[in-house]
Formats: sequence, structure tokens, C-alpha cells
Amino acid sequence: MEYRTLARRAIPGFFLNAVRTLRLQAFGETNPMMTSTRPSAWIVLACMLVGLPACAKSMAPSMEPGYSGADRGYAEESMDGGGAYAEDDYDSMSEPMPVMATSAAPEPERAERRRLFGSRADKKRAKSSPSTPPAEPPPAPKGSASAAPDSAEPKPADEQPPEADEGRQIIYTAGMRIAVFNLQDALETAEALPERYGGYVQTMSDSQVVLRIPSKNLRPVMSGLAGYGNVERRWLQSQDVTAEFTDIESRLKALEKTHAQLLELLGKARTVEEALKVREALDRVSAELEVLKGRLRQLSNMTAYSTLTLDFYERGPHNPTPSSNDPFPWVDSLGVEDTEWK
Amino acid sequence: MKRLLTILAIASTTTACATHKLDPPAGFAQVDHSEYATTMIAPDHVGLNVRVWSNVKGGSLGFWSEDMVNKLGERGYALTRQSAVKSKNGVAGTRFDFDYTAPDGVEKFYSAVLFASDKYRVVLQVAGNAELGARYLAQLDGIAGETKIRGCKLVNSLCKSAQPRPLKIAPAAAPEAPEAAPKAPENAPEGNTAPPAATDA
Repeated sequence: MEYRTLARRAIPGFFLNAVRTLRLQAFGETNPMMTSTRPSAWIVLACMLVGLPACAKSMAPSMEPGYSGADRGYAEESMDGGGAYAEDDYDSMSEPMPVMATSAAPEPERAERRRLFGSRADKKRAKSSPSTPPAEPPPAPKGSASAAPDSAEPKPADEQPPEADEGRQIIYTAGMRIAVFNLQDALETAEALPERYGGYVQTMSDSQVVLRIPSKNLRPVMSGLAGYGNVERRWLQSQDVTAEFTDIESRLKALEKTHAQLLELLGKARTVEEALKVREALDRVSAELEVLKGRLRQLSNMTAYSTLTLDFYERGPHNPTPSSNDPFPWVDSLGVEDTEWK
Repeated sequence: MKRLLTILAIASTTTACATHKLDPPAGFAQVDHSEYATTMIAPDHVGLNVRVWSNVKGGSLGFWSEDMVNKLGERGYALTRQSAVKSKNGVAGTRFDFDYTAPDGVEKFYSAVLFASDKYRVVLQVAGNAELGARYLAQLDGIAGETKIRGCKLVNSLCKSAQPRPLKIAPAAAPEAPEAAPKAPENAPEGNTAPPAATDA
């Protein structure tokens, strides 16, 4: 009799029929306590007794209304189930719930995130492993071949551009699309950024500004710009040119040696023919040297200065740009602009 | 008799489908109407409209009021008045009057009357140039009282929920204040630092 009492307390009435049917199927009309022929039925019963209250407990907090007493109607109705509100409850359940939709990331999204940022285990491994020894710092943007990596001072870690590696020569190209309330103010602010962070304005149009910002300041500039408006899109591309950089440097060294040797040979030339031949070779080497120095200057500039493209557009009720974590962006479509006739 | 019953049945079916109902008040003409929106204008370009969204569980008048006032406040709307209103069919609503300066510097009046029924949340809006505000805002309670809001349950309905607590907005700060600009790092180069003469490929 005990299990019946327990079952009545824990299981709603309509479940009792199911339990009774199951019991009859398992034990027939005889006393179930005396029967041991079908243990699986006992397991099923035990699971139901344990599982249902646990389920009810876990459901209860999520059903509670989060707001004032006026909100209680919905929660109470949902808990009651059926009855006079059955139809309304069904309707409201069938409505999309934006909060729930944003709470759980779908599986492919998670996998993608894991791929991009690594798993927790990877991060732990990275923390525990000793930090990489300081490599060659990037060259200063002096625009000459003398701006070799050796001459530059190592930079503090917090000033590095995203994912910077001191030994690497990386060209960063970034962009942001920002919705602002006042386009003109935003453009002026963006235009003034190089005054604070260095760099210069590369191009500027009605709604777009392309800046060349020192790579070390790219991160603070991008973080600061996020406060100017609603960042709709943000992207960053990196191009590792370390190999090309190293290759050019090696070739430069070799060519400079050759150049010096050729000069020496030119001085030792005895005939005009010999001198002409050496001169010809010297010209070829000099031309190649200039090309390589030019490319090195170009690479130095590109790694020292990042290109940041800022696209602004004016937001308003007619082009609402809800923030990504706002489940109720309805107010974006309200306001004077939506109401007044123009 | 049969015909009358048929007409009544059809009428009850059609009215039950509508989310809201508002006939153009005196001085307004309706330019657009759908299940979720009604738009009207006055000759002086003052606009009056009704916007409807589906409600969600827990979407009480208090919840939506705070959500609306906070978000409008972030956009530079300064709340000047909050008062209780009732729709024609007795749904509790709250009226919020705002001052607003458009990006071009023109002062505007804006008022939003929010209703929350069990199925819908409805906003009745009126806006125009500030100098016309007094005339139109004086009529607004009456216009709200002529609006019918649907979607109420018979029992435990949100339609009779309590008024929101008095809401206040701090003096509006510009949405994109220059203070939000990041602080320059100490070692940032001063002034425009011209890059090397080399051009980008």
C-alpha cells in the first residue's frame, strides 16, 4: 500500500492509470510485492517515482514570474495546465521566445567557436606551458632598410595588436560597421583619431573613413570605437609576411656583400673590357638591391600601420539596429521619426 | 431573424480577429491600416499611429513600460509625464510624454501610450513639432480612451494589471558622447605621425 500512497502524492492523477495498467501487465491480479518474475517493471516504476518529482522541481523555478505581482497570471496558468486557459497557454507556448532562442548556441556554432578559440583543455595547456622566448621585435616604420628588426625595442604585451607575435611580421587589416545616431559627429570623431593615436586618414567619404593606425594602437582604437555606436560588424584579417621579410633580409645581406665585392673588383680591373663587365654586374646587383629595399620599406610600413576601415550609418526608427543581446528590440521602431509625417 | 444572426456571427468573427481598433479622431485622417499598425496624420504633419506586437509570458504593463522608457531614454527622449489611461474596453495603459530634440536641432513633442493585453502589446504614438504639442497632447487621453485593445483573457488577465512604478529619466546624455572615446596610451605618438614615404601595394 505504501507505494500507492507515494505514487498518489508524486504523480498527477492521469499518470495513475498508466501506473495501474503497467502494474497489472507486470504482476497480473496478484499482490505485486510478492512477485519477482518481472523485475524490469519495478525498475520502470522506480524511475517514474524518482524522475517525476525531480523533473517537477527543476521546472518550478523557470516557471516562476520574474516581475511584479501583475505577471503572476501567466505563470500560474502554465502551472495549472488545462482548464479554462488551455487554449491560451497553447497559443503562448507556440509563440517564439526570443530569450530562449538566444540562450543556447546550436551545435555547429559551438564547434565553430571551439575551432576559433580552442577548448578549455587547450587553454589550460597553454597556461601551464612556459611562455615563448622573446623573439625578434618588429621593425620600426622608418622607411629604410636600416629599420631592421634588431634595432626596434620590444613592446609591452598589452600594446600588441590582436594575436601579435613579436617574432612575426603581420599585416593587419580591420574593419567595423557602426550604427550611430549622429553620422556627422561620428565621422569627425573618426577623423580625429590619428591625432590621438598616430597614423593618418587614408580616404574619407560620406559615410566611410579609412584610417592607417599604428599596429600597436589598433586594439585600443577598435575597443574605443565600439562605444561610439552600435557595432554591427567587426572584422580583422592578418597576413603573415615573416617569411618574405626574412627572405628579403637574407637576400639583401648577400647582395650587399656581392655589391662590395664587385666594387672591389671594379677597382682591380685592368682593362676597359673587364671594367665594363664588372660595371654591368654591379648595375644589375644595385638595381636588385633597390628593388628589395623598396619592398622591405613597403612591408615595414604595412606591418607597422594597420588599415582600419570604418563604415558608419545613421540609425533611427526606420533602420533599427538592435544590439545583439537585446531580445526585445521593439522600441527601436518607436519614436518621433516613426510617428511624425514627413 | 436568421439573417440577423448570420450578420452578428460574421461581425463577431471579424472583430475578434482585429488586434486593435481606433477610428480617426477629429482632425486626423487614416493613411494606412493593417492588423498590426494604423497610421493617421493631421494637416500640420502631426502623426498619430498604433503599433502592435505579440506579447510574451511575463510581459506586463510594468515590464514593457520600463523597457520602453529606458530605451527611449538612451536615444535622447526625456520623460516629462507619466499617467494612467484606460482603453475603450477597459484595458489598463500608461501614457508617457517625452521631450525630444531631433538630430537637426528641431524640438519635438512625442507621447506614447502603452497597453499590454495577454496577447498583444500596443503603443499609441503621437508626435510633431514642439509648438503643436499642447493642442494634441490635450486630446491624447480621449484618443486612448477611444482605442480598443484586443487579446484579453477572461480571468487572471494582464489587461487589468497594475500601473508601472513612476519612471524617471536622468537628463539625457548624447548617445555618442565624445567621452566614450578611448584614452590615448601614454606612448602614443603625438599629432599626425606621417608614415614612411613608401606606398602600399
